[in-house]
Amino acid sequence: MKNIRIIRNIIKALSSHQDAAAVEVLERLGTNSDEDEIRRLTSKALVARNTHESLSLVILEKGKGINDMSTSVAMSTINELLALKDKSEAMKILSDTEELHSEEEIRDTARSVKTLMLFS
Amino acid sequence: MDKLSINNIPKNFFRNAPQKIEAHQSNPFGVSFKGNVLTSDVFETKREIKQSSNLIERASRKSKMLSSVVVGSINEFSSAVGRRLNSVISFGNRIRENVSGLWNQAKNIEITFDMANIGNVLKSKLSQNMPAIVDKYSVKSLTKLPVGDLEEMLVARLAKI
Repeated sequence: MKNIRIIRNIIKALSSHQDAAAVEVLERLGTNSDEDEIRRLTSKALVARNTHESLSLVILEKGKGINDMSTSVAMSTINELLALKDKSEAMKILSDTEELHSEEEIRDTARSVKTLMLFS
Repeated sequence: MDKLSINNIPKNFFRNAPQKIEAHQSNPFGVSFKGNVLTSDVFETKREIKQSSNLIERASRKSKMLSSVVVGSINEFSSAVGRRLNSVISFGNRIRENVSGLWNQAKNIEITFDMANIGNVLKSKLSQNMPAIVDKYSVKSLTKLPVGDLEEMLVARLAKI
């Protein structure tokens, strides 16, 4: 129990860390974790960071983005996106994905999330 | 020497001695007292009149004694009160002198309040005495660490799951 609390705090610290290298650490250790809870915490942390790199990773990345997440992790990530105070960067990435991405499935997912964010 | 015979014994030899009625008992209703009925005339004797006069004398003597005792005690009381009052007054004077001295000292003392320094002292004392409160694994503390250190910590913690 104490261990998971410390992991949660480390991930939160990486989320708000000034060093841009924190995103790479989260991608390398968090999104590739076998634990659903760690992946959920990592995607939330990446959304909360609210930078182009972190949001692109969550929305677009093959095998790590919303489209490839488990249902619970995907819902948690979408909730975090809806809760953002500044949604401008997320909306920009979703619009670009909706229009320009090569895979139709990812374009559909981006459209759905964008619609949700517009009505939130 | 006469012979001892039953006829020579006086008839009242075996009689109980008449019980004396105590004159100082006041029982105006003639009720029984220790088995004897007392009548009202037992209270009307010369002896009683004499006693009453004695009583008056005794009462007057006692009242004189009482008066002297009261006067003496009043004198003692007033002197005791006087002594206490004097001690209270001297105590008050001492307090007043001390307070005025303290006030003179206080007027010459400059009081400064360094909040920043107090904050630093409290923080250092807190971290020394209660390390559990200043959590090194809090998000605030962890954010100050380099990303490389956080990565190592995260690897180590993930390995424990």
